[in-house]
Amino acid sequence: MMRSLLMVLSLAALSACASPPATSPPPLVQQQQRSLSAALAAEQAGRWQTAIEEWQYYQQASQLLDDWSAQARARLSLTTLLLRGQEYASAYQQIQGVRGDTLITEELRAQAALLEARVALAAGLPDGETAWLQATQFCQQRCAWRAAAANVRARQLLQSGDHAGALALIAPVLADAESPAAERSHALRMRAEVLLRQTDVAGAAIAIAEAIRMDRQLGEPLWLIDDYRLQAEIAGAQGDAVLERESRRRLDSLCRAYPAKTCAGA
Amino acid sequence: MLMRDRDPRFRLLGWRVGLTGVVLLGMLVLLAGFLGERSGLFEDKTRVHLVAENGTGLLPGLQVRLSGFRIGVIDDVQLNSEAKVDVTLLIETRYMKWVRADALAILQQDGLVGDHFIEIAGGTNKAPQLAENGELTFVPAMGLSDIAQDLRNRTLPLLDEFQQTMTYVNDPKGDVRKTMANLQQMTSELQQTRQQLDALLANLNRLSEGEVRQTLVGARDLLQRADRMASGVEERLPGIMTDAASGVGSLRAAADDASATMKVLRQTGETVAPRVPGMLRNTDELIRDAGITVRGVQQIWPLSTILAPTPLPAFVPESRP
Repeated sequence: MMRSLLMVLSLAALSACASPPATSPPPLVQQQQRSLSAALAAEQAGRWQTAIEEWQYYQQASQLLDDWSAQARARLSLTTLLLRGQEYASAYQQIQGVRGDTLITEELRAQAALLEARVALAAGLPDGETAWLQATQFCQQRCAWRAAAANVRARQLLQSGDHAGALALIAPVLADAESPAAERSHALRMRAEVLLRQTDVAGAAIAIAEAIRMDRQLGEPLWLIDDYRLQAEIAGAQGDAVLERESRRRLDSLCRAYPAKTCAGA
Repeated sequence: MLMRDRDPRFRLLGWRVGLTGVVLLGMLVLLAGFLGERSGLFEDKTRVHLVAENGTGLLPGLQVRLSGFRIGVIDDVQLNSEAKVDVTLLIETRYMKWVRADALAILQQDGLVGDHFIEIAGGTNKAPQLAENGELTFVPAMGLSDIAQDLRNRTLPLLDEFQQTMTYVNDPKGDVRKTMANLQQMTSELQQTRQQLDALLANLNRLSEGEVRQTLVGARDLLQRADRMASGVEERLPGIMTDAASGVGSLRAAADDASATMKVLRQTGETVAPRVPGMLRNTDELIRDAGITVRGVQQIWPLSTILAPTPLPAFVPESRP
């Protein structure tokens, strides 16, 4: 019994030794992989500056490996992070030209177009509408970011004063139970703004309260700052001094804990 | 087919086996001799002792060094009846001429994670050579935490004292601030008097005789007031000057405290600074080694399957920053 067990073990050890040795990938591929892991980990931990640096390393490694999709992916993430940091000029520089690059997959180009529309919206640049149109041409059918595209367009319409058009775009996002929570809360925030402009102050107050509830669950201070700023305005229009004071207090508290640039003019 | 004993290859077989054994034994003896010679096994040695408060890092076999060279080893470490640690060193006798009776035995470490060793240092030429079974003064090594604690212990009282002095200087009801306020008030009063006198003298030419007399009476009053004020100043000045002297004394004490603090800081810096480059170099190597080890471990099954390369997640754009 013992002898047969030893035989089996010896055979197993021999077969393990006989299996081909694991080959490690080339150094540049390893570096690319390390940068990707570090960038994703930094994003998850909210270390935005580190995430930017790691995505830059990833982009450089991908360039050296002639990996165009990975390069584009890095540029999309970099643009998102720069937008978050309100570095609009850098974000525009980063995303410019990606949507027209034929070496990149169509989906990445469409996503780049949507990001470019967002950058144009935030920085007050022209061509936002053209970029948005390119993005939606890809996203005609159901795609994961259709709600985001609708919200970006609603934001564009809101900026140009077309309140009814904005409300019409927001409605399907709110009606669709499968819309991501981030997009639903953004839609609610825009709905509150439209209702305020249309002097439906009570409706605006309900919408912004719901948006705040969702954003608190999402844990995004930047969005909460945006929400409380609007809630204070709505409370002012309502003549609700208590709510206005409370919103401003919450806004001040958030701004004290968040970089000053975000709260400039709060 | 079995070979017969008469086969020529079996001739002198016993002798051959014996010779091979002797050669192998000789080689082993030579190797042992060589290694023993290299480790100073055959050198004449002198036994010396030291007493340490704590046996941390002290183990038999650790090197004893002089100017960075190995001159002996720790032979024995024992706990004595006073709960201290008796350490016996074996130092090669040829090096004993440099080990003076007033030399210090300092426990040190190779880098951050290296072995401990005892460095013999600090002996003066005037002191005699340490005799057989003589005792060295032991100095335990200061780790980074010890240095930080020492620095903290020395600096905190000085900083507290400095803060107290500055609080005293800045106290609005304290001597220094009151003195300054008094001086300011006196200066403004003297300036007022001076302006009044100037105005009086300027008007003097334009006055009639009666007016001159009246003015002179006024001037006399004014001068009397100035006189009273001067006597007041004369009375208060010693007090003010004492206050000022006390304030200056406090400031000087504060400056002395600050100077002592800076001296301690400089001494600590001088102690720590030479160790910093080595520590950084070691840390760099340590991190590289750790990286290599971690990567090696990651390649071992089952970690290699658990820690598979991160897949590139799909990008999902959002509408809001």
